[in-house]
Order: sequence, then structure tokens, then C-alpha cells
Amino acid sequence: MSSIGYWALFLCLIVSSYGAVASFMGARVGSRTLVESAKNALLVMAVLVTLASAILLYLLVTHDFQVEYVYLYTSTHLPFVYTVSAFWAGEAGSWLLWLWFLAILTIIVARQSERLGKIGPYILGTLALSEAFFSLVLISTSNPFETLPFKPPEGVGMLPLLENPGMIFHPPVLFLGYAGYTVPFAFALAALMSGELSANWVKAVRPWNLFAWLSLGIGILIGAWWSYVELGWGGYWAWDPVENASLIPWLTGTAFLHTAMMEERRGMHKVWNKVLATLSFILCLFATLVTRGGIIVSDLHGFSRSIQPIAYLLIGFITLILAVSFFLIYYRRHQLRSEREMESPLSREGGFLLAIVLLCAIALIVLLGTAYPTLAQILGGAQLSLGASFYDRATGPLAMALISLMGICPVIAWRRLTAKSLRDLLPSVIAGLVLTAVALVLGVRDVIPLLSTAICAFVTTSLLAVFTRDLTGRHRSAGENYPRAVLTLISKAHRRYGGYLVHLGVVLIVVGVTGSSAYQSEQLVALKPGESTSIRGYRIDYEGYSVETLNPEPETYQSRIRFATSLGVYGGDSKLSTLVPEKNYHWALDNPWVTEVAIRSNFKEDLYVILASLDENGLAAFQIIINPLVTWIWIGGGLLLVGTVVAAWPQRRARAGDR
Amino acid sequence: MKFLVGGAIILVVIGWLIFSNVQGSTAYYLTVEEVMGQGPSDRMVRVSGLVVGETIDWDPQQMTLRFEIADEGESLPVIFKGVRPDMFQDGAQAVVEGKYTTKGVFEATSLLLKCPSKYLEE
Repeated sequence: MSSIGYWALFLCLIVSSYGAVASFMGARVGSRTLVESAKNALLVMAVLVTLASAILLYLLVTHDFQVEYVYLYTSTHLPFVYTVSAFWAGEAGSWLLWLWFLAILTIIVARQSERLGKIGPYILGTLALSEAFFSLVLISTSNPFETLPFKPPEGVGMLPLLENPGMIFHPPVLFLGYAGYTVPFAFALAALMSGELSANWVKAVRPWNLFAWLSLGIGILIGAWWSYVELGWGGYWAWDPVENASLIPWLTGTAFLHTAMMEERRGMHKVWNKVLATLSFILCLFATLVTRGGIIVSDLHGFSRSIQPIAYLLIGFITLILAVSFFLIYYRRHQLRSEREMESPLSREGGFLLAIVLLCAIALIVLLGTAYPTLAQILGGAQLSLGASFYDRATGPLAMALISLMGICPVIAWRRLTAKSLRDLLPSVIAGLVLTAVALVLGVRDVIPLLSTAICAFVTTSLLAVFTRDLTGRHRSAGENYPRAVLTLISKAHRRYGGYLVHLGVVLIVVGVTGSSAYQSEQLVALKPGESTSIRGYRIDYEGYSVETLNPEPETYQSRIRFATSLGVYGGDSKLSTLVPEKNYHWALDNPWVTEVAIRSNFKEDLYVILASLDENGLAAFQIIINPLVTWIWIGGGLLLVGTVVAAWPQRRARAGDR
Repeated sequence: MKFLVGGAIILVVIGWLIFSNVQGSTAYYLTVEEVMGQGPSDRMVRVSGLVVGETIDWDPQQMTLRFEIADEGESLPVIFKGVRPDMFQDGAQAVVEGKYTTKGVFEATSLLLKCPSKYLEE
């Protein structure tokens, strides 16, 4: 079975290489037959990758431990969903998943390519070339179908930290984002190669762009949630290189969404668009270079110290793309002039430009911070590390400015600032100040939370005010009642209101991050069974503990002794819930202890309890943390999803009043 | 011209944000020998070494962890108040951040243990 999988991947390389050559040749000489043949090759490619993926899945589910990958990441104790998730538990499987997503996206693009005109074949060629690269990686450095010379009776098993719903959703969604960014890049490169540089490519690429952006964003958020519920990964965000690596392309991708809008509407930022589309894709590859290449120094994640062979492949591919893209941008520089000069920096165009610059600046700072320890080691030989406070302080001011712009841009007019814009801004500025005053009265004294309150209140009221103005306008002019007016407005300008929803989601995330980082409180306490403690209005009774042995035979990573404590949580006199923080002793692991935290969350705050230690006499040490407003981060993520779907909804009426 | 000035301002701002914060957030790694050699200091440093099993003293009542880390024959006594990390055990590679005090003890404000990547076990 596994050799069929390998040969399927080998054929993938050949078929996709042919697809790339045929597409580019067909585009160059204008041969329809060649392009059609390339399309067929891409279809065959998708079938082959699907076959390889199905085989890997089959091997995992049937526990064929002779296959090294199955042996390393699964065991017979592993629940079915995690056996399936083991598909992306290791490097080779992750690449295969990425390639599979890419192959599926490619055939969808191929179906549309008729409508794309001259740039269509170039897009397909670029996609096929990327597929060929991933196939090469899979058959050379990261073969998931590698077999062992004998068949072990049992597998090693999955690391217990990975046995979490986060493992089911985080990697696939993230990889969908990474694979998704290949498409905007292919469109940009195709536009440059073909010389077809009108704004059409930006229009056609928009749904793809939104799709990749959303997947990456949601993937990052699921990862943050996973880090939060799993102890030892430093909360929802620790500015770890792995996290940073996925954030950087998302930031440039966000900038690209906005520059693309400017090219579509105003014919501006044409060079920016090509550069940002290319960079977003390259930074996705860079992310894997960070996690897999053994280049970046990390404190938390002990990556292999030596540079891996995969690193050379990735660096080669990245260099090639950069060289080709920048050469083409230079070559086409005369066609890439803006159709319009900016009339005044104090205009919506100016606001957009500033937002784009700020996003890129944040991305650059995160990138430099991530690379800094490595660079310092190479240049000066000094071993050092950059704390999380660097990122907070260096990106914080820029992020605040960026978020303020979300409240300013929708109000101010295109082209130049008008007196009306300023009048329209006034109520939300007042709202921001009033809420800040309220926060002051309630006892908030620190600068950052106050500033954050002001900005969030300003942006929220500003967005709501814009919507209300549109609504009353519609009500008056069309005579529709309000519920109906809401529906017509949203269906007529869904792009705009979807965008506002996304911005509101970002505001909620900021609220959650501010609350939980500025007002976290913590208590370390040792309790005997029957004793209780209190923290911020909660009374916590330590009711007792239990010990049980799970999956003892045969020995795998899933074999463990579970030590579970039971805590009754009371608010006033009523019992709110029972929390069960636990420690698990996985004796087959080098680091046998795995802690499972217990969380009770509501809209106001999370009660987060960690079992620090448990003695034989039942004496337990707990770390009890109150994380205010964390839930709003996840709600904000939900709004981000809804907003993007609204914005990406296919337009039914051609060119409705969307401006 | 306008753009050049704008671009220059932006670059200066980014540069300033990076440089002003790098110093405050950079922790230098010292070896156990260097820390002991330099003596008590108010500077925050990071030291890494292997946890010496028989020196581990965990007091759950006080939530205090005392232990020694060893590196190239020298060992450094460390005191850390907080939760004992899961991977804390004999021979674990620990990174402590804090100050070496006049009492001859390294008072750690953070204790990190090198762990495998989120996905990979090396």
C-alpha cells in the first residue's frame, strides 16, 4: 500500500511539472490544445494527490505500524478522531495535506480559467509549478510513506498535548490558509507575466484572497485557543516564533486585501498589490521554514539545531519566486503606474495608505523580532533572546493607530477631507471620551487599558453611526420600514457592511486581549481536601481527588495515570460549577507529566485553574487565575468569520450600489 | 518628494520602535560559570543548565521550588516561586531568568523548559 502512495506522489511531480510547462508554453504560443492538456494534467494531479492522501489515511486508520509515520504518531489506544488527525501530526503529512488542498483549489481555478482570458494559462502554470515544488519536497525530504524494515506490534502514539480538539481543526484550517495564498500569488504573477495589468485580475482574485485570509486568520485564532486551554504554551499568545510565523503572512495578507480594494476602486497601488500578493505567499513558505527548517532559535520549542535539508529546498524556491517577481515588476514598471494621484493625505485614500503602511510595519517588526536572536548569533555570536514585552511595546502603538483608522476611514470622504466628515466624526470621538471617563470613574487607572477603551469605543460608535446614517437615509428616501431597510442595505452593499462586521470583530478581540492582559489576577494556594479558598468573589472548595490508570497495556503514549481533583465553584451561596483540574502521568513519555487545566468561562471572565502538584496525603497546590474578558476574543473571531462570509457573498445584481 | 519624506518618517518610527524596545526586552544568556564568576548583580540574565535531580526541593505549601542547575561541572542554586512545570525533572534542560543575589542564590522570575515543538518530537 505505502509504495503505491509513494509512486502516486512521484507521478504527481511528473504530471504537475508537465502541467506547468504545458500551461506556460500554451500561454506563450497561444495554443488552446496545450492549455487544455495542462488542465487535464491538473485534474489528474488532483486525483493522484487525493489517492495518496486516501492511502495515508487508510494506513493510519488500519494501524499499519510498518509505515514509520503511522508508527511514530499513532497507537491502538488513540481515539479515532485523533488517529485521523495524526495525518497532520508530523511534517510529511502536513506537506501532503498542504499539497492536497492546493490541488483541489487548483482544479477550481482551472474551471474558472476560461473567464480569466489571457492570464488564465499563466495562473495555471504558476499553480502547477507550486504543486511540483510540494511534490518534490514530499518525495525527497519528507516522504510520509517511509517504511520500517519490520512491523512493530504497537505504535509510539500521539503526544498527549496534541490530543485536544485544537489538533483536529487548527492545522488543517491553517494549511488551508497557506495553500489558499498560492492563488492570489499565482494571479499576481500571471498578471505580470502576461502584461494584462488592468484591474480585472484584482476583481477575479478577490474571493480567493478573502478565502485565504479568513482561513489563515481563523487558523491562527484556533491555535490561540488551543494554546490557551493547553498548559505550557504560555496562554493564547506568547510571541513564539511558530506563532509569529503564521501571523506575519496574515498581516501582509490583510494589507493586500486593502490595497486590492484601492486598485479595484481607484486604480491605485498597483505595485503594492503585486508585492503584497507575492510576499504573503512567500511568508507562508517562510512560516514552514521557521517551524521545520531548524533555522530560527526558539526558547520554547526545541527545534533541531542543525539546518534541515528541507530548508535548502525552501530557500531555493523562495529565492526563485522573489527574483522572478521583482524582475517582472521592474520590467513592467511603466504599466504599473497609478491611474490617480492622491489629492490629499487627509482623505480616505490617505487613511487606507496609512493602514497599509502600518500593517506592513507591524509585519516587519514581528519578522525582525523573530529573526533577531538568529541574526545576533550569526553576526555577533551573542546568545540572547527577545522577550514578549518587545513585541507588545514595539507593535502596540502601531496597532492602536491602525485600529483608530478603522473608525476614521469609513466616515471621511474619498479624495479630500470635508467639513461634513469632521462633523460626522465628532459624536464617536465624544463617545470614546465619555466611555474613557466612565472607565476612570470605575477605577481603571492604567494608561493602556484607558487608551484601548477610548479607541474601541470610538471605532464601535463610529461604525454604528455610519450604519445608522445609511439606514435613516434609506428609510427616508425609499420609505422602507427599518427591518426591511437593514436587509436591503446589507444585500446592496454587503461588501462594505461585511467589512465593518470584520472590523467590529477585531475590536472585540482587542477588548479581550486588553482585559485579559491588563487585569489578570492570580493566586497560588495549597489546600487539603475539604478546605476552601476565595478569589474575586468566587469561593472554591477542594472536594477531593481521584486516581485511575488508563490504557495500561500495551504501553503507548496514551498509557497514563490520571490524578483528578474536584473543585466546587461557588458564587455567593449558589454552586456555579464543578471544575476538574488534573495531572496525568504518561509513563512512556520522556516528560511524563501532562497537566490539564480546568476553565469556567462567561462573558465577564474566565476562572482558570491549574493543578500544580498533588501529594499522597491529598494536599494539592493550585494556581488559580482570573482572566477577564477572554471570551470576547473568541466571539470576535466568530464575527470575523461572519463578516467575511457576508463580504464574500457572490453579488447577485451586477454592480449594485456598492460604493 | 512628499512620498520620500513620508517614507523616511515611517522608517524612522519603525527603527525607533525597534531599537528603543530591543534593549529593554533582550535577555542575555550567560553560562553557569559566568554568573558565578560575575558575582551578585542587578542585571536580569538567562542561564540554562540541566536540573540536578537530588537537589530538587518542592514545597507545595509555599509553592516554592529550590533546585540546582549544572553546566560544565559548575552548579548554580536556584529559587523559584510558582508552579512546578510539568517537564521539571532530573536532567531536564531548564532556562531560568532572574538575578543572582548576594545570598549566593539565583532568584528566578521565570522558569522555562525546552520542550518539543507543537507537532514534532525530536
